[in-house]
Amino acid sequence: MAVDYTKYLRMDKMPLYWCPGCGDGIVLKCYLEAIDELGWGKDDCAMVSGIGCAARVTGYVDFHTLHTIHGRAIAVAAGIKMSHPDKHVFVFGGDGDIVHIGGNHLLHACRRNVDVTVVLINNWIYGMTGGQHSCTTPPGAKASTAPRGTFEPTIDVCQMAIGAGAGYVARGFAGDPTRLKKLIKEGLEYKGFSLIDVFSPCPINFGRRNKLGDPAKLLEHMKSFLVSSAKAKRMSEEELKGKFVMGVLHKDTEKPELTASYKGLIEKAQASDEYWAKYVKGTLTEDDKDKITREELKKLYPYDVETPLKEWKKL
Amino acid sequence: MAKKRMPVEVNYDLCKGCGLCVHVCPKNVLEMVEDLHVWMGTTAKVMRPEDCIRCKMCEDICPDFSITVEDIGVELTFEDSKGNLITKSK
Repeated sequence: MAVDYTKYLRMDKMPLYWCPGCGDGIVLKCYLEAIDELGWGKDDCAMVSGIGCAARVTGYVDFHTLHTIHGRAIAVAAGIKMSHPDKHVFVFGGDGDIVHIGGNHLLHACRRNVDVTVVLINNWIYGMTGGQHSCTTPPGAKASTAPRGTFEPTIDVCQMAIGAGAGYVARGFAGDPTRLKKLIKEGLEYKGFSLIDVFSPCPINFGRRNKLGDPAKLLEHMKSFLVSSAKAKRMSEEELKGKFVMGVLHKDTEKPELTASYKGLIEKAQASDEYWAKYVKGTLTEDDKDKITREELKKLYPYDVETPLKEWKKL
Repeated sequence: MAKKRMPVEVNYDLCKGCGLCVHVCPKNVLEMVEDLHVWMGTTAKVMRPEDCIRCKMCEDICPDFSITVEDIGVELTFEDSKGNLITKSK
């Protein structure tokens, strides 16, 4: 027994609420192992989730947890990170919650590069609400709102996140826990927005409607859609059509993180405010001029202060 | 006599009988069994503990935190499928 999971779980809430064979438990386990390897304390971590099967994770994990409204988990997490930059903030959610309903928040968190780790459990369906098809359901698959198969084109979440400017984007698979743990660990360590898209089986609401009710059978079916990143390099574009590449898809080490740049702005603004306060009182010394140059000050300060001050002094 | 310790243990209070552990096990140690005394009706049971190589595939794939596998190197004493008491450290 490598990791003592009972340390991180609320054991009085067990057994887990998910259906037999659901991949959410595998992802949760990989995630707890990654946290254990990093050695983070329980009080330093905050977990946010929206509504859905995967969002029930916050009930079982003994961190600071918040169960928020549908699709808005990333927005809440970004708020927590901005007010507590020293905490590690994570978001758990399904494809319906984060991509379909809260897609706007996902895009803007990617753009801002706020230091939040999003573990997106992609099971191709709205599991909890009764098996409605979502934006990631593969064409032809049956769902409760598409009894003759879906006909809509799907969205590739990882490509969307890369386009929006996310720092770290990876894709994992619940049937491959060893690799998934490495991907989650790398995402947690990364300073900036990291999205880990995990393909996970839903044997009840997706599997049974598509004659894949056995969890092992569904796992093999999902595996046939996935290609590892090393293998994908050797494949042609035609072969890669309809397949999803696993592994780290994008990592940007140079993009500035939001809380760090915000802290820099606060420091500069405070310096400029101090400078102007001393300027008005007439107690400006030579040392203060070294702290901030005149050009920097003019860029930062939103108002033209010097001209009215001069006018006022003349009176 | 040393205390009995199995290489693989299944917590029947948490197991939901999905069958993923049986699917991934390379040595066919586990088996799905119908048991009316557990809450879901079916559960995974350790049928051939002497074959276990402790690769932890079943522990990693179990979605319900019900399987625990001992680390390699820990000496174990347990009854095998034929009822003989054996000691194993690999």
